[in-house]
Amino acid sequence: MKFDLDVGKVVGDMVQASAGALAKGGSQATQYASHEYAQFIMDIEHVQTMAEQKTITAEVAQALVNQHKLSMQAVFLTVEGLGVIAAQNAVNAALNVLNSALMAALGNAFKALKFTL
Amino acid sequence: MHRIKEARRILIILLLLMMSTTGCGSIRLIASYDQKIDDGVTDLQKATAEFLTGIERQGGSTPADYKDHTKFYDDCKVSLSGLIVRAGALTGNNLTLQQLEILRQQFQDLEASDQKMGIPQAAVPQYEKAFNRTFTAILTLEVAKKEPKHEGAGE
Repeated sequence: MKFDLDVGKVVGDMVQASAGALAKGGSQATQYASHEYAQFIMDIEHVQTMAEQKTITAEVAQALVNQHKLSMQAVFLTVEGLGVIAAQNAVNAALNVLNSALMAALGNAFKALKFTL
Repeated sequence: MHRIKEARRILIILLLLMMSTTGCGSIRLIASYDQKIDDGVTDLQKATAEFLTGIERQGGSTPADYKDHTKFYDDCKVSLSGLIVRAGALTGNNLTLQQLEILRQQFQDLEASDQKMGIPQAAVPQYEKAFNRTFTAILTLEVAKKEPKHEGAGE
């Protein structure tokens, strides 16, 4: 069994695939993803080295790469989620401003009505 | 004149009721933070770390050792099944649900490798890193779901 992986191409594809989600997720998503991408590259390179040095068999190396690939899918989902949360927070912040304005207007309306409680 | 005032009064009360029932006008695009998912994933992380550390300490494992590992795999399957059901029951929790399915796949793959070729000592840190990346991804998303504190709120 031969173990071969073009790390550069994999990382390029990863960045391309997640670019949209990263833009939506803001700085938190970018910081998190950058760290995880860097770790992933280091881990894959380490697996490759161990396979070349015969510390592990090609079959074990492939199993490890598959595990790392699965874990990166989980990372992509987090990046996507951070984008959704950023959008949610932005909309809610805007709604908060609108709410305050409405409450102020309602307060004035109450004053004008001179309710007797 | 009295009728107009009465109509305005009703309108104002209706508006206030609408605002209070819609959570003061906030929207939710993703499920809320769930303490049980947080705790469950953290427990799974600890169990996995213990399992892998044990294997590393004994100098790796062979396929013959697999029979001693079945309890660990069964416990993980049961825990994950519970977490997947819980995550699936919450609206807007699709991303977390997919992450838990990925974790389930990782445990299945680890078990298959363990059964077929054992877990070599040199491979243990890499397995641990891959699992921890997934655990961290799930927990990062879960914690990010916590409501942001608005200015002046809850102080």
